[in-house]
Amino acid sequence: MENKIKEIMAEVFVCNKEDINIDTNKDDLDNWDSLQHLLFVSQLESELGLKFTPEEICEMNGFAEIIKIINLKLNS
Amino acid sequence: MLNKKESFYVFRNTTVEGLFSPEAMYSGYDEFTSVPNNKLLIWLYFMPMGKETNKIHELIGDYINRIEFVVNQMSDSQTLLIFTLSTRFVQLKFENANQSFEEASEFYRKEILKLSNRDSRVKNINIDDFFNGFSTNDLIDWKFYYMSKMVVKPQIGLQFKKWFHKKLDAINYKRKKCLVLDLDNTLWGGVLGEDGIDGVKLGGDYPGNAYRDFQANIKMAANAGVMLAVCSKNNIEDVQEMWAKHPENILTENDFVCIKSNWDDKAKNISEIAQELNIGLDSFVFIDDNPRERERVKLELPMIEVPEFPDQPFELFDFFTKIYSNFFQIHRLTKEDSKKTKQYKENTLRNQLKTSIGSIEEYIKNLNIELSIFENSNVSRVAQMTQKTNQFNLTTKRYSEAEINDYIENGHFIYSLGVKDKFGDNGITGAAIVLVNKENKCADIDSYLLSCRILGKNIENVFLKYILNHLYDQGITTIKSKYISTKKNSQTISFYNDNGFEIVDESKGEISYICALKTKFKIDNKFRIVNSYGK
Repeated sequence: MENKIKEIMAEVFVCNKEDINIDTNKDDLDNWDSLQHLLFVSQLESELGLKFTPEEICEMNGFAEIIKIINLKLNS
Repeated sequence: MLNKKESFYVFRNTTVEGLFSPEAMYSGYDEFTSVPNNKLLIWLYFMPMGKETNKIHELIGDYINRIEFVVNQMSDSQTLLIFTLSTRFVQLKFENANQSFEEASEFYRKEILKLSNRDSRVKNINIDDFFNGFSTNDLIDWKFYYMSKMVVKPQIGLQFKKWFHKKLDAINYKRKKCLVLDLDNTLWGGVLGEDGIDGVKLGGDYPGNAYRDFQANIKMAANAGVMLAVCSKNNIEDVQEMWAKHPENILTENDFVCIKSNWDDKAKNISEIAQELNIGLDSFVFIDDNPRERERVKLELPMIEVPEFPDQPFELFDFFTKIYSNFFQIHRLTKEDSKKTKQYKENTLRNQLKTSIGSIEEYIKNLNIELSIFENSNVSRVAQMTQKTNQFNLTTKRYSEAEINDYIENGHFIYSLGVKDKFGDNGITGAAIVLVNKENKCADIDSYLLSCRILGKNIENVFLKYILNHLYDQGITTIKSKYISTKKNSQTISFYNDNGFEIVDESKGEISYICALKTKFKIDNKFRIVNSYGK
């Protein structure tokens, strides 16, 4: 799962998958702006078959939060 | 020629970043004051949604004005690519609203078609060619719309980019100017020098009918702006005789801008044609049935398009359809008859007048505005207006038809205002409710409102003065009124003050006014007023 998310992030934010780790957040990636964020979320939604709420989308500002929110969704 | 890698500039009214490559630059959502110098300018607007839809007529007229502004500011080396206004995103199918969306889209389409017809720097693209491949649910995700004003769902962006680049190619590279034609076995069957006028196959039964239709189609292309030239190996005298005498021949001397009928090398002939017409060789398409001639021209002049010629005459029709759409089709929308969209056109005309005439006074005078003022009628329209009008509405009190009728029965006055000008009739677009107390010679303007589309012409003041004069005639000497502040009506905050009313009280969002009527007001004579209580 984490690997899949890294792949999507690397694709949308145009960076190396290897550069993404648990501490990576919005400020660490040049292309992670608010618009790309939405493109990323929409990509996540279609790849994982999930739907995020606007509140969740606003919280997904780092790799750790993204994993947390996705796990919450998958386990509920 | 436009380069896809070069950065282009997108005028937009919503979030469209997901649809274009990263090097694109963008306008703000609404206003802009200058036109950037990017070679390629793109205009991608979406139909207003949600709260803006009640102003759709004004908005669409305004969009067109903005486009015209851009076209006027553009340099000759810039291209403006305008997308049509998609109706795919308007989901609510209210009876009236839906029709006006379609009319709006149609009006917009026709206006940009007109622009591209008269200005070669302007091209247009039917965006629904792309969107129609998707269901509405695939097109929009309301979450992203409300979070970021993103109308088109982000996932569609990638497909859109591909489609758009294909369109750009079509616009960029394929448009040719001149069609160079061989004669023998191309425009007719057989060889004129050997078979003679009576022997060549043209018209009548197959294969002559196929050649005749081929000529007819080429003629239509010429009528649509394609230049035609002849490059053949014939005696020119034979050819001229053929043109003069063959009853079924369609393309003749007058249809060709340049004729090379000789035994010279065809590549040399075509180069000469290019020089004579002063157009680039890359603007040519060469049609010849002889593969050796085609090869020769391809080799010598690689920038010229040299399509393969069909083996069978019956294939000529389809062959030419493809030639035309691949190389000559001006990238624009098809014309089609449709409903009249009078009101939009009128608004556009009005705005044009506004910019062409200096002062607002002159503008108003030139409009020949006629105001019709009615008393205690148009009840349902008045009720509807109290429900719908938000911006120029002093108190924003909402009424039902029954409540308005109650007022009339109890001796109060309901005024309604019709506005006409030389461009058309706006219908009933203003209303006032005045509660009167005849014993105290006092009246209270309970509601006063005008539709936005008639503002900016001083009508709001004239209507008020007329009402005051009418009340004066009824023996009223004191007028009370109120401004009640809402989120939308701030433009009316000084309305009564500007009309000579005095503030008597001001408290949390409400201002109360009073006005003593001592004499009648003079009415601006630029307006012709027709009323229901004497001229």
